[in-house]
Amino acid sequence: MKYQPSLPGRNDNVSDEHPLKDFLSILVKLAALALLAFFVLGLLVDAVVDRMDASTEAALTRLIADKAPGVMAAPDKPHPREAQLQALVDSLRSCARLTGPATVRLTESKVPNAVVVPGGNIYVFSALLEHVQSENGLAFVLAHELAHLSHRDHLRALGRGIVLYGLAALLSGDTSALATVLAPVRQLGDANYSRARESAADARALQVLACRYGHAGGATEFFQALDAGKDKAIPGAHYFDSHPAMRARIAAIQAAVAQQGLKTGAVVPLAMPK
Amino acid sequence: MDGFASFFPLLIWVLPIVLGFFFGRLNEKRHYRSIHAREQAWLHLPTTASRYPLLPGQVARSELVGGSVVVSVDYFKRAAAGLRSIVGGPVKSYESLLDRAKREAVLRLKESCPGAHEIVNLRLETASLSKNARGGIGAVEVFAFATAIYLAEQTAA
Repeated sequence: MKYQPSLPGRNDNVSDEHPLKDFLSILVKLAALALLAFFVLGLLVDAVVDRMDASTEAALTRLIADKAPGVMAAPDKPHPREAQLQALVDSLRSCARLTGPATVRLTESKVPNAVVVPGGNIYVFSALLEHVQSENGLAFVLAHELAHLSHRDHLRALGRGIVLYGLAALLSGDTSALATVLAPVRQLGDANYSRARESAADARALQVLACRYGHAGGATEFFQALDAGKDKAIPGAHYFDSHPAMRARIAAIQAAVAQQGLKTGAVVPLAMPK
Repeated sequence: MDGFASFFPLLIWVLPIVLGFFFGRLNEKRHYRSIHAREQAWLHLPTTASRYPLLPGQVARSELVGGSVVVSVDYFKRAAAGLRSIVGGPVKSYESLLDRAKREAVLRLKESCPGAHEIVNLRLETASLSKNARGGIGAVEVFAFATAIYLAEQTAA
């Protein structure tokens, strides 16, 4: 046999298809599957939280209260402003139909906001007090936080967090690397759900405000103050916001006021001790 | 805004993959051009895995020759393989990498013995560097070794 040198015409050992095709097809399918799983498990979390009885909620709250970030020890002597905030929250209790504990803590911060952490602690950031002029305006913000408490929104957020990290661990084998990657994705997906929860809390807060003062005056005060202080908005930024955009929020509250036939009366001016 | 800042970790993750894709593709194209040209140039040198030479004649001298190459995987190939490892199936992104490495190793072997008349007993070995070390970029070494045969003057064509 004579040796005749030649090279093969084609290489069968290497696939011809574009490398991106393989990459994207797996990525898209996995992402779709993970999103579907997150959606379904999220509904399951809602179902479980809705059906949970008070004693289970209390036990769960005790379990997570100590580990929640930002929980500080109670001060020996409450600030006079804090005592006033507490009195305001206590006056809203019956209207908010709150059964669990609700403790207000005032913290120094330049961010005008209030948050609720597991265990029934409401943190009011000091800058918030500069953005409200009336007791009614402040009561609406506090009622909003109380609504989060009674809607068990912190448990829903916790449940969804567990679902997300569980999925991340399942897909990657560890949560450390993928969690940082998923954080913005989570924010994007969660924001919509979160906005819905915020709107629900706003609606509830409006009812509480009307119950407490007999009218809905001052409901939009805080948001209007924030909106006025906002110089410019980045287009598209609202997709990442967990809270509805200010103007949309104000409009929604005003629409609810009109729809429910609520009156807007005179507001009680806010007198805060120094 | 808060939302945009939280996208930076994603960017840090995506950027090496995008860079890996473009530089990896560019390198691969350039390497394949070189491989095709050199394979054509070395076509005259018969190379087999057989124990016996193809060419008739008196063997004057034989020697052990080798050629080795280390190639590194880029971030894109690694990400594609990582995704593949979740669902299973052929890891297409590594196919061209190993194909290039094997052919380059054989070419280097041939280039190490320009006067040889034939190569027999060709063997290939692969070794993975930084096996499963965390954070270590995967690289593979391919080592080709063979016997180069030099025929006696009078019978050499």
